[in-house]
Amino acid sequence: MQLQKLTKAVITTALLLGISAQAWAHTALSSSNPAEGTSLEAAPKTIEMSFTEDVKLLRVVLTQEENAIDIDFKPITAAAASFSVEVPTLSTGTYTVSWTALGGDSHRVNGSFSFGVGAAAEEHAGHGGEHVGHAQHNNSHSSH
Amino acid sequence: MWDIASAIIKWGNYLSMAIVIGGGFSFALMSHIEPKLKEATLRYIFVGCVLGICTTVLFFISQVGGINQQGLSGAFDFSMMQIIFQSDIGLQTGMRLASFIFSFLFLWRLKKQLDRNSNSPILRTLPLELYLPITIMLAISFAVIGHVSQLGLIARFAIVAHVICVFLWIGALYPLYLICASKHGSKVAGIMKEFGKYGAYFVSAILLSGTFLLFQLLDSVSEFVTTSYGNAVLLKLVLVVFLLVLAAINKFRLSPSIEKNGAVLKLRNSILLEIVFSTVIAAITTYFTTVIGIAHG
Repeated sequence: MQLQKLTKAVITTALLLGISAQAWAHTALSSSNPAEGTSLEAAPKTIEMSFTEDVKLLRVVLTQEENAIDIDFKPITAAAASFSVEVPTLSTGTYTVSWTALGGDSHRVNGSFSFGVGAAAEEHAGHGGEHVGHAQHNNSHSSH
Repeated sequence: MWDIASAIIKWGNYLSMAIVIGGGFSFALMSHIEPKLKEATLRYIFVGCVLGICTTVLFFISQVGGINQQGLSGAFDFSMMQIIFQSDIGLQTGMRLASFIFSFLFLWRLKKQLDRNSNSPILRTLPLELYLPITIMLAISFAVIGHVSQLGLIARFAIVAHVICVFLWIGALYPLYLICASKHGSKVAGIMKEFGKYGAYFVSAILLSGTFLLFQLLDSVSEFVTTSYGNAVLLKLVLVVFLLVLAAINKFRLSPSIEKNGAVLKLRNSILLEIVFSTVIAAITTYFTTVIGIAHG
């Protein structure tokens, strides 16, 4: 009876404690151009992304204040460490790039970064940076 | 949302593999048990096959959904499904689906034969030549994706050995519980002794392979407390220790006392606790392999 009570207590405690949802991936975005939080005077023609290892870049979405911009991105199934995505002419504003990739171990990794174009972007650079800080920790994995 | 969904589905997938693999093993231990209990075990394995097929398909869909991040409709993006199916995720899905479907068809045929003749000699045991490939295929599917897939051959062999022994052990617990709950007290002792004999090998292999994998996957012991992944592994290890203690009590104290009145009831309750612990351990494992990753640098 004592053992059963102890067991119930252990299980309940373990379930209640939970585990932090912080996620650390060993596949990550090492750099981007535009870099996270930068303000550009002129709109970029391409967005470049470099990863810590070869990945398959499966999804890239460009948004401006939650409005998706059509960049006609097609999943890239050939694994590589660097990618360049063409974008249409961007007007003044703050933009967010959201991406999803498959690592060499088939782990699915998500992330995003923001940048600004034009004078108005300077007002939003700090705001975009905070979101990116959160987004960079947003990773998911599937394995086994 | 997709991360949590993937973890839950994977949990169901793990349990289904345990049922199919461990259920088949427990069936082999029951050679002198009445047909009703053996039929109940076959139904248990059958449920495992159906659960396995469903969760394998759902897990694949959840991966597509997680990549597209467009809600439920994004999960059924055919072009993305084709891309993912051509990756190692597709390989793993194919291996598991083939194993479960094969088991399902075999058991379905077996059930039809048993419906015609419940005293059929087929009930004596499940053919090893059928079960061994299914077990090995399901186990190898763990080595094709994930962190371990990037390590050497020995690590991949270790994960295969680890999951085979884990599933043989925990998948056999429910049928053993059923036997203890039935009126076969005299037979229980023999079966538990047999299970305990194999159990010792399973536990040794699990501890050996598990320890080896931990050394491969963690950079240092400090990660147990400094990283979320390490925290989750530590929690799993604590529960595994509890499970081992329960198993030891069953083997060295309760099983030898089965002839005594009330000992079978205690054994039954202890096995039930083992089932609960192993289910929770499976949930923790799926969580830290799906939602949390390994920290490096």
